[in-house]
Amino acid sequence: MSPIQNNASQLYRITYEAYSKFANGINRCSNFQEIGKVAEKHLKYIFNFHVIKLIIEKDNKFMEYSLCGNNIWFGQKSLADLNKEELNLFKTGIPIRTAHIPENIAQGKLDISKLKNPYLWSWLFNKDDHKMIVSLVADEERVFNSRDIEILKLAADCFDAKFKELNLKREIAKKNRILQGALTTIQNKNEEIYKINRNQKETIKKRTEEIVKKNEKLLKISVLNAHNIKEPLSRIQGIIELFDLMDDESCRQELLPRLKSSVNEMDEIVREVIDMASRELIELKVKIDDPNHFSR
Amino acid sequence: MTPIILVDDQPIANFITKKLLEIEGYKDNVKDYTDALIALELAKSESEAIIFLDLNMPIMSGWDFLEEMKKLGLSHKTIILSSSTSKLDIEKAKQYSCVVEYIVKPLNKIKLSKISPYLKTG
Repeated sequence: MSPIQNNASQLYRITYEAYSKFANGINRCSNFQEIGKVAEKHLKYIFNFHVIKLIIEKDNKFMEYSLCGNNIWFGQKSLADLNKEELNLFKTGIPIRTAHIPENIAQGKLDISKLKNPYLWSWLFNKDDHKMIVSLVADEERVFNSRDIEILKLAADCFDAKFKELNLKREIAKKNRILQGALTTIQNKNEEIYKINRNQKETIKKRTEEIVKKNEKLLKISVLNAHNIKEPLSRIQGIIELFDLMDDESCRQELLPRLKSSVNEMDEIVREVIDMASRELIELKVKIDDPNHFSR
Repeated sequence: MTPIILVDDQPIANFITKKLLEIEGYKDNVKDYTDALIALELAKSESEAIIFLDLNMPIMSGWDFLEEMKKLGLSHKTIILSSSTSKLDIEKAKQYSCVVEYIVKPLNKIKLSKISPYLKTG
């Protein structure tokens, strides 16, 4: 039986099996830590590397995700944090394969001097609305060759899709928080409006009651006044009725003085009614002119 | 003749009624009062009487007078003579069995002729 490295089809099968385990694992991840664990466990069976580094760019913001042995680190980066090769790659898009490896590639977690004939590989992948750089360091002990690029692309896609999903979830959560804040504000405002409305209703009710009472009072006064006027008036009418029934002398002596006194009495009552109505009118005018009257 | 008692706090009102009655031939049996309390005393002492009663009076109103008569069991025929045209007053007055008529002032010959049967039979 020939060694496994020489049997290409068998090698591919094992690689794809490893890839499907990796892809399934990534699929189930719900945060960046979990992605790290899956990558640490499965990525080494897909292709060889000492360190792998992913940089995702979107709207001039960068996120780095690196794996070296058991070490995983990720976080936000700015343009200034990128090295010269990475910046160049972003501009040109030309893949890099170089023996010139930046010292800080693994942030001190890998001693490059101990590697045997190491190479740095870097690719730029253009996605719909963002860019992604994948860099890895391999050497003669952990061999990476151009045959592995296709499977690396698949793995990068898998990472990218998951990152996209998690970022989307983050954004949704952020927007939900903002919406929740807006909702709370709306609810508070609604409550305020409700309170204002209730106050208005109470004020209107109070004012209406006041007006009804006032109307009732005025009606009673007007009825009372009419009665007070009618009393001497009916006396005057009664005396006039008598004029036809009595002789002139009696009329002059008995009726005329009584007629005069009744007329005077009626005049006095009418005067009182006018005075009282005028006082009421003046009082009402003062209340109307005073804007604070009803809120008291 | 049956005594006729006029009760009105206004002397001129009593004068008008008295004159009209006098013209109709009722003179010596007519007595007038501006104080309902004193009129009530007289009503008590009479076994039979015709009363002309005003409603709106100070101290003792026509209503008070009717209530007192009711309490005392007096059934003198009573004619309400008031300047009030209120339906409430007219309805209320009808509740008293002794009230035979409600006349709105001013009293005149025609109105008096309506109640003359009571005066004659009385």
